[in-house]
Amino acid sequence: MKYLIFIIAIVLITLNTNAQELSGTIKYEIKHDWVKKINSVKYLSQSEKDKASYMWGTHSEYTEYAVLCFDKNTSRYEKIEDENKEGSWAWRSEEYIIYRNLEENTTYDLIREVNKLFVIKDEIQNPTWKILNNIKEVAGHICMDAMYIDPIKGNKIVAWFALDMPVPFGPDRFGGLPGMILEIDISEGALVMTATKIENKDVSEFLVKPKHKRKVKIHNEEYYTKLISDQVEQAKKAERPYFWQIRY
Amino acid sequence: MRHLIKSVFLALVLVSFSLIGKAQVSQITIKAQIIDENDEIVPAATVMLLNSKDSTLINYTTSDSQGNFSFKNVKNSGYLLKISHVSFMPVQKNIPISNQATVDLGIIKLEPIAEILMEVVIKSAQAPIFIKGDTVEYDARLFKVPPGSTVEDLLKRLPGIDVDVSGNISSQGKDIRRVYVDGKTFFGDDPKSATKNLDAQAISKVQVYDDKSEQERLTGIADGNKEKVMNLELKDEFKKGHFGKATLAGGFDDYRKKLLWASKANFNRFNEKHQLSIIGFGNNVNQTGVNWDDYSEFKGSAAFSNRDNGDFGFGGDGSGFHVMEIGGGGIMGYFDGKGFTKNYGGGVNYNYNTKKINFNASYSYNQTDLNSETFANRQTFLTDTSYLLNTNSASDVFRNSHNISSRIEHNIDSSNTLIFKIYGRFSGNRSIDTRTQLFKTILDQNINKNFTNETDTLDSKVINTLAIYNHSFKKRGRKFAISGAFNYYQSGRMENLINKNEFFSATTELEQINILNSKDNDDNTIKSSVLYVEPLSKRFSIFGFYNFRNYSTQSKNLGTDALTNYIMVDSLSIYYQNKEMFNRVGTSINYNWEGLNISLGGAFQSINLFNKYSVTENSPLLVPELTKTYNNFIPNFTTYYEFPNNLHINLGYSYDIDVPSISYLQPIPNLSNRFYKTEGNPDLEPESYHSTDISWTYWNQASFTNIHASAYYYYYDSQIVYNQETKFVEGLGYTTIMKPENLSGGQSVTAYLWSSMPIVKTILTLRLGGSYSYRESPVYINSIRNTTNTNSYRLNLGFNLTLSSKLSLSLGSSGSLSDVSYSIQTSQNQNIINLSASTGIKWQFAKKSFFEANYDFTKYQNDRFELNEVLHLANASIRQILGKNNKFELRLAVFDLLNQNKMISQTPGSNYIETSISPTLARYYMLSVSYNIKGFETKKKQM
Repeated sequence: MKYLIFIIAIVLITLNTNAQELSGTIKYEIKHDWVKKINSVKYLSQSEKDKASYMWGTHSEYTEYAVLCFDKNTSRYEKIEDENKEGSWAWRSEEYIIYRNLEENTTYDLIREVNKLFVIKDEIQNPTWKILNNIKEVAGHICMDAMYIDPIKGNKIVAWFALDMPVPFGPDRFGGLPGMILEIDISEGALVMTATKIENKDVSEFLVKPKHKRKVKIHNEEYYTKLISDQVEQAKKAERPYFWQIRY
Repeated sequence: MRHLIKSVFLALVLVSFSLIGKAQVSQITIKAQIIDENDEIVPAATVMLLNSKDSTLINYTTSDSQGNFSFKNVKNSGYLLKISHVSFMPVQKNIPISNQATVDLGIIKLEPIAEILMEVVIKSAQAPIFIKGDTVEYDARLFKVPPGSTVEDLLKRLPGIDVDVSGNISSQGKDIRRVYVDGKTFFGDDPKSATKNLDAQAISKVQVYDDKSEQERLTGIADGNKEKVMNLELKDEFKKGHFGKATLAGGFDDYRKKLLWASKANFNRFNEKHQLSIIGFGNNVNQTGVNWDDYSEFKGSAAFSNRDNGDFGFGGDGSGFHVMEIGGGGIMGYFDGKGFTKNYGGGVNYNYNTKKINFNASYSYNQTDLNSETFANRQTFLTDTSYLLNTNSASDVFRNSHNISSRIEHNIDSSNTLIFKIYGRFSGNRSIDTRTQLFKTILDQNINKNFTNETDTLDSKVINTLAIYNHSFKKRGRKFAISGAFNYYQSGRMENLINKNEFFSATTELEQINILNSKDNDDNTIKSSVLYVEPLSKRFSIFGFYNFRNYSTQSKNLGTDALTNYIMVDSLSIYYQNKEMFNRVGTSINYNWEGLNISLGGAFQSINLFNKYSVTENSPLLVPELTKTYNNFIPNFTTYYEFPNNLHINLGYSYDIDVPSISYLQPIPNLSNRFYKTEGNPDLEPESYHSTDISWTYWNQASFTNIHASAYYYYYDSQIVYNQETKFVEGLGYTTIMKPENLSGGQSVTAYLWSSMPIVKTILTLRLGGSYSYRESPVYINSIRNTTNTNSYRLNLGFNLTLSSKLSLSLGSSGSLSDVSYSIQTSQNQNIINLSASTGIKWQFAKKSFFEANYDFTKYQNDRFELNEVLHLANASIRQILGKNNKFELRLAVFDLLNQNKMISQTPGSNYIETSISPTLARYYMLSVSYNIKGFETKKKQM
């Protein structure tokens, strides 16, 4: 009997350490391509797209960085400062912190969109992913791909998720796959988030809900979806790229 | 029988039971065990349950330590089961709708991923592979081949594919007999025709798969005769293309009875690396150059590279370090709205852009033939009296310029960048000006009349070069930069001046002079700047800079009297050499954190001036060599704060010192006007002033509201102004001698507001703007200090109304009032009023037909001058897009329908006020045909 308890204890400990291994930080490099973004907007005219391609040429990219802290139940994603930035000028960092908790099945995202700061608190809602047939390596992990079409913006979103990191998290507001999403490619290169560095460590102290002032309003997912679709509709009407108003 | 019925009933019951039983399996459990090729258990494999119709993910799990997995109580609706694991090829199993509650798939065996795929493709080449059944696909873009390589060269690099000496291709030992391009046969059946001819750069994907044989395709029965087929997928390249437009227009000016024409064409061709564009235009409708849109399209990606600044530190060295392309590299031209012009121009631009190198080179040419007339009235106030001057002038100008520019930016590596830039302009200017000036007393009595005829030929060369090197050190934020520049300006001028003066007083006499003047100028500037930035902490950094400039100029002015056999006139001839040496060293401490950027610094500057004057190069100096040194300390402060809601605030203060220019210290004799003589002042001190500015910007993406407000304040400790001595000389008239002197107390404040906000989203937008300025300019008039105070107010209000996608209207109005007062003669105080209103319409009245019109009303008013000019300008046009792909456009337009156009300006000066009117192109009609390679927009543009 003692022997059995010992075995169970060992198993539990190993399970526990296994679980602990699934905790750490992932640094993402976020590449925006202005020309590809413009080209992906269906309602813009071809001549506008041609002109953008011509004017911006190879100067159409810029890079940002973000970090995702996670363990097997929680994740918190936020933008970080560019390590190689030019000059000392300090812009204000973006208010965009994405928090997921699987145990409580809740989101708690602090977002500034169209100049309003709010929190989206709701059940975790994931898109209907279509599993594809490609395999590639991202940041040392073998990944499979999955995709869906954004129902509001019409963008094709391809996610590469790691087969050996079985947590349903990812960068930005993406998740719900059998493995950690290490790369997101929106509209074939218009916006690409790629994991560049994965570190296994205890990050429990960082895995907290984003802090904010009490007056910041808390809304549900439906509110956010409506806000985004209203903005896209408005941009469509005015024939200007919607990403002038909201995130791509 | 009964028995039979019983049996049938029983059977029916049984059947229905079994049917019911079948229907009852609405939820099923799927389970299996996973092992590898050596029959070892595979734990932690990802198992996904997909919808068999569209592969959407329904559920997922992982295999346990025994390799077992199960999906319990899932809907019995048919699935695709997908098992994947880092070390194995993914496996897919079809699970049809089941009639049993448990679907036990038994043991599923995984095959390891071939080493070649894992090590070579996925890990080394970082290339994704596509695996489905036995199809393997490669992303060709990730296998680098040198530019100009064929597909064959590319295939040789792909793991698992062999190409023999004669170009035959095989994959995993099997010959490839067919090569498709985008799924289609490429020039016949020979697979080599595609692989040997296509450029590798054009390919995005290489797929190798088993094609069905012709027989299988026909019968649908697999006959085992599988053929290996390769498909080459072409890149979906949108960073490539061409566009262009050409317009030809003819018209008529019914007032001048003159035929008018205009033409413009441009063509651009580009791909990811190269951009080539050409542009050309010609017209006689006052378009002296192309507009910003055309210019930016012409320069392409190089249009925004004009901002290289080699002036490190704050405030620069006051002379500007940019290699500016004057007038948009020549082809943008300039026109002040006066007169009639005939214009030609064109250019060619080439850009080459890669991550490492950005290169631009362009050439352009522009010429303008200008005829203009101006009628000006000026009233000058003296301490006790005033006099009037009417000037009628006409000029005939031909100017042309050749412009070349080139820029290379070399990003040597992530920490070193080198920029080199050159700009050259070679221009000519021939002009004939005639001017009649009538001086009158305030009682409208003629005093004298002056007639001038000036023929001027000017040729000049400008060559500016700039080099900047930037280095970032390993330590984050530590930076070093150095720049160097050489600017050269050379000009040669011939001036022939005939001046006649007629007096209306008793001793009337006609005076005439005729002077031929030649002037040569050579300027060169050598500049250099060094900057070093050292981070002190995450938030603080310090920088030090040094600016150096050495400017030297040499000017020869030779005046000869044409009436006396071109004898040199000493008083009109001068030779001078001027040198200016500028040194500035400064430092600044910066705080940069989360949108707050503060910089506080100071610099010490030393300027040395050397001037030498003589009549000719070899004659003795006129005055002893002038040597001046100005040493000053200049402080500088700027701060910028970004609030979270897109509100930005800027605040700055600086104290600047500008040394007097050579023309103040010892001016070149001005020959064109005998009644205004300008003297030099070698005792001048530099100009020094405090300046502060504040600005406030708000932008709301949700409502598209923009608000910008800013204010500036200047105070002069020392300002260089032209003090005036005006005398009435009997028998000559009013003569004025101007001398630059230092005065303190000048100040000005200006505030602007600019805003745009929607009242009804996407339908009605309001634009509101305004400005206020107050200026206090002191000047000595006949030894009495006069202060001219100008209060200017300006307000503009406009609306844009988009009624539908086919109709939009705009309405705007603006008014400005300048209230000018003169301390020496308050009776001359006056109000200058300009009022304007404008309205426009854009209407798409049929599918491809557009009507556009606008009307502007402008009123110029001056109470003292009894000026009350009103202009009504109306333009209208109708456009029709034609052709299958909307490639043609026909446009009929009328400009200035009411035939009123002219250029009016009102200028308040230090002790005068001037109004002037110049005729220019008024009503004309024009019919134009345009061709656009890519077709015209058939949608109305937003206003």
